[in-house]
Amino acid sequence: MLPSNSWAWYEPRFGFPIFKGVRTLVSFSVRPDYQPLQLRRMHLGLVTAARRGPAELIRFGRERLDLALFCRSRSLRFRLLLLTRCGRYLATHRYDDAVPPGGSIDVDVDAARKARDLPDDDMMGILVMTNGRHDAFRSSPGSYSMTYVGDTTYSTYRTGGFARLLNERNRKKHYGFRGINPKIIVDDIYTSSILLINHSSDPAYDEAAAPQCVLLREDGESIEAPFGTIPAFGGLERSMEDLFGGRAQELLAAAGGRGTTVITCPGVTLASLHLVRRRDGASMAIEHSRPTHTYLLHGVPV
Amino acid sequence: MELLGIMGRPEAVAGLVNMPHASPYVVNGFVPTVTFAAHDGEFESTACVYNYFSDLFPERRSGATAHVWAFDATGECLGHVSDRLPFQGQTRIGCERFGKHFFGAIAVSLIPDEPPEKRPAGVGTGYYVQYRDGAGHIDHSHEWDPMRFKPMQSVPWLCVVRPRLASTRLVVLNSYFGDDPAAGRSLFAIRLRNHRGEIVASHDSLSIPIRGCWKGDLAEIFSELPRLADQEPLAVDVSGENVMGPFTVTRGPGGDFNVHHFC
Repeated sequence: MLPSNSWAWYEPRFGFPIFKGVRTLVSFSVRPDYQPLQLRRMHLGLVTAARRGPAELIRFGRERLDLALFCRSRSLRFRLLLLTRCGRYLATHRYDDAVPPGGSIDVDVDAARKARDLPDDDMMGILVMTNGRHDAFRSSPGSYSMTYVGDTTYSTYRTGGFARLLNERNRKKHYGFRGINPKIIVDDIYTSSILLINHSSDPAYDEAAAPQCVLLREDGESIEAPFGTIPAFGGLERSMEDLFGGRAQELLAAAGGRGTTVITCPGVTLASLHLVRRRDGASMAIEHSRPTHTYLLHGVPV
Repeated sequence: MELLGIMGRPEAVAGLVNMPHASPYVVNGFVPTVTFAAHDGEFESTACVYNYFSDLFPERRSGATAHVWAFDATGECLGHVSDRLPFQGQTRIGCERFGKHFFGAIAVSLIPDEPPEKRPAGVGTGYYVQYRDGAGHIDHSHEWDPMRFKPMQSVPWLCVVRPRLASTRLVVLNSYFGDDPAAGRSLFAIRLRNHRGEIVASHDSLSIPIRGCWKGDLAEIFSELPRLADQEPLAVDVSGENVMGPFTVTRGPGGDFNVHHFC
């Protein structure tokens, strides 16, 4: 559970891991064509709210009032929340500069950590921005880059910031999480891991998640293990060895060390990151996963 | 099962049709999704594909076929390879299978043996690409944009670069995979913006062949980069006609590298 004022419902945010001994740089660029609020589109969602009943209709009205009152500025401000990997709140670091469309912010997470007298440790960060795109499902007015720099490693992944309903049981029911990673390598040179984040749009969220992981070889042979318990707002990284011990490398040896994981967790949604590291520390790769079923739901242009 | 649950809702399936398409890359509405790939002596790229229809429709126990095409920087299609995947099957398709060195793009389409009857007119494919260099550094990225067959004006793609920390190359792919040269023309501009969003340098009128790609080293494109680096954070802004979200290929101070699209 986080402080209730951690963010307002309309403030997009993004949670990411911080690794001990690795410099973490997070940037956000605001698209030059960003429009904070399109008044002519404020009615969108009214029919859906009305269909859901009076309570949702009242909520719709309140939210539109919030947008009209607080979401008019074209410039964004940012603040960084620092948490333990278990999701325990540690500190908030605010950035004074207002970032206009076309502008960027570049955050050195280590500097923020040191400014708050926090030790170098595996942690979680949540970067919150004051406004987003309320005319679009994504709610993201630009893109985040998370860059991890070690003595010998360098890796980046990028994604948007979102203000969607996540893991709020009383407002949205999730069927469950299914994360597929077909780029697992476990051999003498490389090892793979998965980092799952139990996020929510509600700072009061306090439910733990307990996913299950299957490691599949190309001929269909598989092994299965509990992933472990992830507290609310926590992040848990498990390597294939953490999950399966020496059985992971044994299983995949017949397939050149290659395999696929399928992780499931009913009733919640999770964020997932895929990592590959050289065992000698010379390289690290990190990337977020993408849900494949959305291609069958939303389609692509033809 | 989740998919079936959602597709069972009338509002979710409204407008779903089977639409024939003239492109040789599109089969039964399955539109290949494209991303950067290279097999050029510096990078080896491998498409990693899992038959996720096994999890979406487990009761069908359906197989699928992964189709992969490769395109070089001029837009020439270097060929097509395919792998058959059984129920819960997986494959890695290395770009060496195309038999030529190239720097450009791959496009992947995973087509199930029994395509769902109700589906959108265009269905993309989710997959990942793993990149390795000669020194054994490794990186990976998810698929990016579907092939486009109509001209489009790109959104202004923007992301931060740190020239004092790492060297960055830009790779820009033409999003158009149709046959009309006029419709597939791609002109684009690269701009550098300071943290306030002001444009501090720009290069205009760059072009990419249909299905092709453009690449350039940021330090070579902008000779003033060392001076501008004092104004960090700097952001690169790429926009134009038929421009897919660009990629950065960045080499860090310790020798490790990263490939990622703008977002």
